[in-house]
Amino acid sequence: MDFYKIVLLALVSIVGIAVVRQLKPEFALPLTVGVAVALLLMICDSLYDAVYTFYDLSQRANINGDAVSCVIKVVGIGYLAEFSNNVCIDANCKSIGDKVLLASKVAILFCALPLVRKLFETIAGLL
Amino acid sequence: MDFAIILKIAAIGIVTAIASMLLKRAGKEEISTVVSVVGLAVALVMMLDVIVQLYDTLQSLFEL
Repeated sequence: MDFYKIVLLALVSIVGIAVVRQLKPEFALPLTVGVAVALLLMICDSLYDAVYTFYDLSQRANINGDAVSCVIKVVGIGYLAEFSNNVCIDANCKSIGDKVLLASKVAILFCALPLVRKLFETIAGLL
Repeated sequence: MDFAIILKIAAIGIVTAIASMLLKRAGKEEISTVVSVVGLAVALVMMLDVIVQLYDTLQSLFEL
């Protein structure tokens, strides 16, 4: 999905959201989330190739598999948390968004812990 | 496919807004509130459906 279509859709839907916000304020939030998800799904198509080439290069450089999958998982968790934080800010509940960010940090930490443990074991083995 | 969801939510919003306005004009206050609540519920369910779809794509993309 090329870039111009996404920009066009974003601008058109901003106007639509402004109209709906005038008529019915409570319908603005579902519409905003709908537009955000539609844009993201369009971006995801080209994101697949990026993630696939990332995997392919790491396989070719025979980097250890679960390190790469941990990096990609952290990117996914980070993006999902940032998306829901923005939705919470749109609904002007900033405190709930901060809780979601904290939860995502904990999830990232849990995802990285096995790698850190393996690092310590290898270092201990060297000494 | 993605635009259809946006158009559907916008259409529901506008239809419920007009319906509740008309009902208010016709003097049936309580029915207009019921109509707006039902319209809002339908829009929220559609929003949930869109979010589930987003989560599936992200899960398959990033192997969460």
